[in-house]
Parts: sequence; C-alpha cells; structure tokens
Amino acid sequence: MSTTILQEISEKIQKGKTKDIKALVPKALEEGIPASDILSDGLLAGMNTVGVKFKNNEVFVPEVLIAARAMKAGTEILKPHLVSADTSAKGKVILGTVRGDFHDIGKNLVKMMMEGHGLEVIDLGVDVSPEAFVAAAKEHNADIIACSALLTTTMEEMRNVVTLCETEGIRDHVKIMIGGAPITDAYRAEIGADAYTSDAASAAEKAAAFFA
Amino acid sequence: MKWTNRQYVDLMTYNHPERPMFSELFGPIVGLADEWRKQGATEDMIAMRGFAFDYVPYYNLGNLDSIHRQKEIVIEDTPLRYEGIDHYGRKVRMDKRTSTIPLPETFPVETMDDWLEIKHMFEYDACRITEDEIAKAKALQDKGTLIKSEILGGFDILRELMGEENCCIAFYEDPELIEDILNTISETNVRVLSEISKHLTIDQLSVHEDMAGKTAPMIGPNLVSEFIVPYYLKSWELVKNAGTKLFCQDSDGNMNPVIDAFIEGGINIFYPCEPAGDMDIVALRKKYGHKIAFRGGIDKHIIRRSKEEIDAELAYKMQPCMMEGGIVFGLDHRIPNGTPLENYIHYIRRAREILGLPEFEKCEPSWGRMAF
Repeated sequence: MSTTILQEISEKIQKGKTKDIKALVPKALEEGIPASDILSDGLLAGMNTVGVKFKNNEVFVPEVLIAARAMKAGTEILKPHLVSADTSAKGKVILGTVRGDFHDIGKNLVKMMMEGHGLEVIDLGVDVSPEAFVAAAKEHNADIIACSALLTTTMEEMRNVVTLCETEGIRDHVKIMIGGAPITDAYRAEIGADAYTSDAASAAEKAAAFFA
Repeated sequence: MKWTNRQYVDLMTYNHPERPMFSELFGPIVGLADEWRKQGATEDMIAMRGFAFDYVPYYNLGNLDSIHRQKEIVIEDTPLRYEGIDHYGRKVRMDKRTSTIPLPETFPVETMDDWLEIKHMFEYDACRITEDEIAKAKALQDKGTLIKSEILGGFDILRELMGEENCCIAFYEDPELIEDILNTISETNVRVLSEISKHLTIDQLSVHEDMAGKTAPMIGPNLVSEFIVPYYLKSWELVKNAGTKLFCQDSDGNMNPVIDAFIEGGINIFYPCEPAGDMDIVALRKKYGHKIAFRGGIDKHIIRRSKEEIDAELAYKMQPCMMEGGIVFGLDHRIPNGTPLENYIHYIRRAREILGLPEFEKCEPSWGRMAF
C-alpha cells in the first residue's frame, strides 16, 4: 500500500501536479508512512527522475519548474513532521552567479536539482563577488561552492574564487564546482576547480556524489 | 566582397551558388578592441573591414516590435554600471565591464490583467508600415539590398514580458495568457506583412529566439509544436505565398531537440549554430541535406587555442559537403576576449585558403554585420 502511494507521489511530482501532491502527502501521513520515507521515496525520487529525464533531453525547463513547485508544496506539508526525524541535509552548498554576470536561470535550475538530492543550498543570487562566496562558505561552514557564469567576460571570476579560497585557507575544506555556457572541463582543470558539469542535473548528481 | 540579395538568396536556397560566404556575423566582444590594438591591429581590423569579409547589405522593413513604449529612465549610469527602467517598465541593470545588454530584474506581465494593460503596445497601428518606407525598401532591393522583416520571437517575447521562469510555468498553468499574447502579435504581423507583400517580396523573414542553453533548449518540441509553430506559420505562410524563400531563426545554444519542430514552422536557416551547444553544422548537413541552411558554425573558442586546432576546426567544417551552398561560414558568436590577433589572422588566412579566396590584404576592405 505504502509503495503504491509513494510511487503515485513520485509520478505526480514528475508531472508537476501540485494539487495532487497537496492531497497525496497528507494521505500518506494518515496511512502512517514516516515523513522521511515520503520525502525520500516519493518527493525526492520523483524529482530525481525529472533530473535524469532533463539530462537526457526528455523533459525541459518548464517541466522541471512545475515539478520543483510541486515538490516544494509537498515538503512544506512534511516540514512539521520532519523536525524530530533525522532528516538533516547531506551537505551545504553556496551557490551563485559570478561577479558582473546577472544571468540566473541556470543557477536556479541547479538549486532545484540539488535540493532534489537532499542538499541544503544557500543561494547568493547573481553578481556575486569572490569575497561574498568565501564569506558565505565560512559563515555557513559549507561543503561546496558552486559558481555559474554565462559570459566569456565573467568566467574568469571563477579563477578568482578558487584563488581566494586558497588565500583564505578554506580550499582544503570546500569543493568548488563550476558551470555555464562558456565553461569546459579544460577550463576547470586550468583554474584548479574540483568539478565541471554541463547541465543542472549533472551538477546535482556530482554534488551529491561528494557526500556518498 | 559585397553580395547582392539575389546572390545571398541563391546561396541559402542551394540554387547553384558560386561559393559559400565567409564572414564575421557579430564582430568583437566588449574589450577585445583594446586587446587587439595592443597587439598591433589596424583600425580597419578593429572595425572588421580589414579582413575583407563577405556581406550582404540589408534593410529591415516594417516595425513588428512593441510600439508606444514607455519613456526609459536612467537610475545610475557610471563608467562601470548602468541601472534604469526600460521601455516595458522593467528595472534593468548591467555591468559595463562585462556586458553590452542590460538585463531585467522585474517583468511587467504576471497575469492576464497585467498583459491587458500593455497589450496595445503589440497591436496594429498604421505607423508600423508606411508607403514611403515600402518605396524606399523597393528602391534599395532593386539595387541589391536584402529586404527582411522580423517577427518577435514566440518564446523570446514571452521571456521578455514574463521572465524565463514565469513564462515556462505559464505554458502549463496559464496557456490562455500565452495564446492571447501570441495571437495578438500574430494579428499585427499578418496585417503588416500583408501590406508589405502587396508591393514587394520580402527576401527573408527573421525571428530572434535565443532560447537554448548549452545542453538543451528552454522548451521542448511538444511546447514548440503546440504554441510557437502555429504562431510562426501565420506569418510564414503569408510571405511564402508571396514569394519569400528564407525564414531565419537566431538562437544560441543547443537547438537540436527542436530543429524538426521548427522546420515544421517554416524555419530554413538556423544561426549561429554554436558548437559549444553541440550544434555541428556538418552533422546537421548530413542529417537534413538541403532542407536547411546555416550561418556561423565555427567554434569561437577554438580561435583562442592553437593554430593546429584552428586548422582542424576549419578542415572539418569546410569539407566538401558544406561547399554545395546553404552556408555563411563564420564564428558562432562575437569574437571572445583573449583571442590573440595572430590566431585570428591565421584563422582568416586558413579559411580563405580553403575557400580559394585571395589573401585578405590584397582585397578591398569590407564588412557588414551578418546577424539578421
């Protein structure tokens, strides 16, 4: 019974059916299914499937957005039930678009996908200086700094983030991930970042793998 | 070399063209001119004319964009930063060191009521096309200028009015709003293009979408077919029946998943075909044959690397199957920062050599932007 309703929740997440999620999650709780199971085997399972389909170009941004919206509705319902359970995030990510760059759709998709993998994401927004990335990483004791850039004129800020992490003495504790239109794995190697991924779903998978 | 509209149309329709065009579609990115001056570039090179590029002069006929725009307000304008309110009432900002286009932070349309408030900006008005303008275009066309009309992008305008995330969600949650916006613009397109087509044949219908990221388009073929293709066809069928042969779409990024859908919508030229977005003009030529044509396609990032890599890129892109027509060879967007002048000159020399063109130093300076 529980498997069926969790599968149903997962399927509704994949289709972005917020109304159905708002009905199914309370129903699953009433059936006595632990909130942590509803989260992991229903909501996150559905979102992860969306991530795989997104990576394979089977679904696109609109489908990801409505799925993320449905997942958010589900997690809001679960929140009070998760307080006592051991559902702390797998890790903390500081996320932002680098200084001089105001593009944010790619970054926002990364956030949704990472949250779908159970990571806590602190989103610094756009036009984020290396100093702000490092300060936030220190303040939140973050595990990962993830930088996005769309422009060839701003990508060099990623190198500055890596350098500042080194001079501030946090490089050994923080993984640095980079992505965006002009970024390549060769560039990652050149600036000494830890990971480059070409799309949001792969970024989330890579980030989660750091904690596996 | 300056080409005529007829030569360009023949090239892009594979109608026995003499040779492909070789051009620079967009020109240098912000900051590159200073870099190149330090490396000894002449002012003709900075202006692109020094490389003797092929181009066709063009003229945009009819105003199919928004009209009765709001007055723009400058909030901050320093050598480093711009912030203001634009013609749609959006708060926009830009870092001048890195960008040339201010990006919006806010958007005017969230609901149908919001849209109805600005709908008049997209409706037909006699000022959109005048007899004088048509007469001017006809005279230019007779002398070889390419006449194009440009409809608003079916995705692009939604993004401009609603923001990327809200418009993406609206395809599912408020499709009536999407349809009303696109139908309104379509009606305007049809009236203006009908008026033009009574007097002359438009050489190329253009549309700007810029709707793809590095790995995929923003929306998939299902939404393109449901919403964008019907919008395109209303304009395309009209001008096609009046003799127009070219319908060109501008979109960066990986458009592969939606190419078939857009072909259904009439598109027969794709540009700038960004290799970093997995757009391979040779693979596309092998897949689609003479059904579609391209502008661009050469990896701008390669020019920053070694001369061997430049040679390999050109040898691959300029192979015999690409010489049949349907191509304007050029970089897939603006020439990026950090491109050494020496490498760029090597790229020009090598490309001209493969195409059998004389050395650029021995030719008349020429260039015109080919981003249309």
